[in-house]
Amino acid sequence: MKFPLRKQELQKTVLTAWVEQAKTQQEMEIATDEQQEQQMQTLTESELEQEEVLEIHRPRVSNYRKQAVPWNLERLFDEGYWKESTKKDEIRYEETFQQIASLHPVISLEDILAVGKLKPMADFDGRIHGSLNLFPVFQSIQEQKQLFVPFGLCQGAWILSSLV
Amino acid sequence: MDFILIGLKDCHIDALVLLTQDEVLGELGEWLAEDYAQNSYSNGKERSLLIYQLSNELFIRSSGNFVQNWQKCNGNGSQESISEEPDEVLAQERKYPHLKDAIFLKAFSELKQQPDFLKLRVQAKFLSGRTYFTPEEKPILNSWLRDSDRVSLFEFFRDKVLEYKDDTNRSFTDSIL
Repeated sequence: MKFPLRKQELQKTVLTAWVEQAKTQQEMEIATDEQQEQQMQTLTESELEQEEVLEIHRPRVSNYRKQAVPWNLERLFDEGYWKESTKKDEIRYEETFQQIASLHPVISLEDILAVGKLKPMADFDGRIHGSLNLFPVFQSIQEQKQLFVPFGLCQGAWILSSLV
Repeated sequence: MDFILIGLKDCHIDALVLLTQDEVLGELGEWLAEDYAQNSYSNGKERSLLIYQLSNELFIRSSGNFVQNWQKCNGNGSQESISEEPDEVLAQERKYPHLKDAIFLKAFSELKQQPDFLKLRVQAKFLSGRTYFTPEEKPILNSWLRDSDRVSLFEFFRDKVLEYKDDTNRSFTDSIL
């Protein structure tokens, strides 16, 4: 009879300890989140001018799977990094995740318009670029019949896109 | 499209990138906030980076080296002059704790007045499907459209930029565009 009691007590103790640990972890996560939020608010012009904190909305989880092209953060200040932008010829519609991830996230507006066969409309300042993550230029392998061009509609599976 | 990343060199814009919201609130935004707090990555680099929000017309992030670089090329408060009078600067900072904020505001304000910045902002707004332009932007918009292939740009705006923006499409006819 003692054993079940001991087992029950043990379970209770362990469970309590686990709950406590979970609570602590949760509290730590909340504290970290708050710290991160504070860090995100480090400098906003609105804070300086209006003494208001810019409302930050966490990005919503998309219904489709999205492959983002990663930024090389430590190279952002290098002269060369921005000049190595993705060229129109490097964009192929049948990209795999791995191929997409190897691309440079910056593409000139001229090139992005050329990819979408909109070259005659590229009458913009040559310094304007876009992030590849902004333009739906890739076609899903599973959806061969659909073609996504810049400024097009985002739908379907793993197209590279975000117009929001 | 509501956010742009601006690359500055010698106080002039040398590149502008239209960004996703995820990039601004995630990796790039957080990384710039970290750089600003610690000044660890951008320190001593000639290039400065800023993130600008079109809808609020505000800079929301800047790299840690922005003010220093801005002052260097505008000839006020260069590194040399600061190091010549460190005690005075420290005394000023103690006396006026918001001095740094004032410097930021001044630099942001000066940058916003640059014709180059205004021109690029107008084009970025056009690309993002906005039909409202401030009185300050209207002459720049007119000038750009006058010197461009207006028909192509009009078709591009109507057929591509506004293709899936029903509300904007409706207000387009009454806009200055």
